[in-house]
Amino acid sequence: MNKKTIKDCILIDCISFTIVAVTIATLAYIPNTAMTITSSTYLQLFGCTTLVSVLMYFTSKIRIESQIVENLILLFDIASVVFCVGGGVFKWFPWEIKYVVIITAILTMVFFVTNFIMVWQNNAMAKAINEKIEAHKNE
Amino acid sequence: MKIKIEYITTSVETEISIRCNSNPDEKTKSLICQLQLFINYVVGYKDGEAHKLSLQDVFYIDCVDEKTFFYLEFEVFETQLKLYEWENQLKDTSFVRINKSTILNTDKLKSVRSLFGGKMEVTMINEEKLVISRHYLSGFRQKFGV
Repeated sequence: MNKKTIKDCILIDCISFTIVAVTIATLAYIPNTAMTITSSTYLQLFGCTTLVSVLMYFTSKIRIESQIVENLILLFDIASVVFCVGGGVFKWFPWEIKYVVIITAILTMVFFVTNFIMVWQNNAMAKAINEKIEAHKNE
Repeated sequence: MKIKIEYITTSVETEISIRCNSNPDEKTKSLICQLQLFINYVVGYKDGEAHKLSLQDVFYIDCVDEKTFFYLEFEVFETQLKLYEWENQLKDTSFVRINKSTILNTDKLKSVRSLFGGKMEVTMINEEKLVISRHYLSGFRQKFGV
């Protein structure tokens, strides 16, 4: 892993952690939907988002032609950490259908929002590169 | 760095000479490598025949079924070297690795755009599209100093 890749992993980690933390804090206002949040829960959450980020780095090294299959595999990475580590080890939620559905919806939402933020960031980079290509053509 | 161009009215063979320190800086090294791209020829094979090709005409180098090919604007030639060997030879030139099986010539780029999943798509000047994977994006950015 080079410095740039580590920087990208940290960026994805921080974006996803922020979205998850805000979502869970918001859900706390809706009765019977959220888990009990303590300071150690946030540390556990950050540990899990870090683990997801590292797992996604290794998974994305697999060459997959289909964009849909690739996204499903990345979603599976998130789900496996959330359910195995979060639900299994840290016992964030009871294993009931209602909570499994809510958690699945949250992790899917976090996945898409994080990706859209990355697209937004990459758009700025694409614009700068396109300007350089134009400048090079006009030389 | 100073550039001096001398236009001569009589017909002479173009000569390019570079005066630099015995240990040139990265910019100068890159310039020398890029010039060598223009001058040096490589061998590509098509229908059992060997052809002399200029790397400046190559749009990208791609590896398919453990064979490596030069993709020019309208033609494809096979090369004997492996992709990683080309990557090493071309590292200080306009060529950059964009995914596990492709090395792209950035001089043949038309535009780039962002894709879902942290990838980017490039459009070449012949309208062909290629995808830059997330892992190779930083190397691609470095080529443009972004």
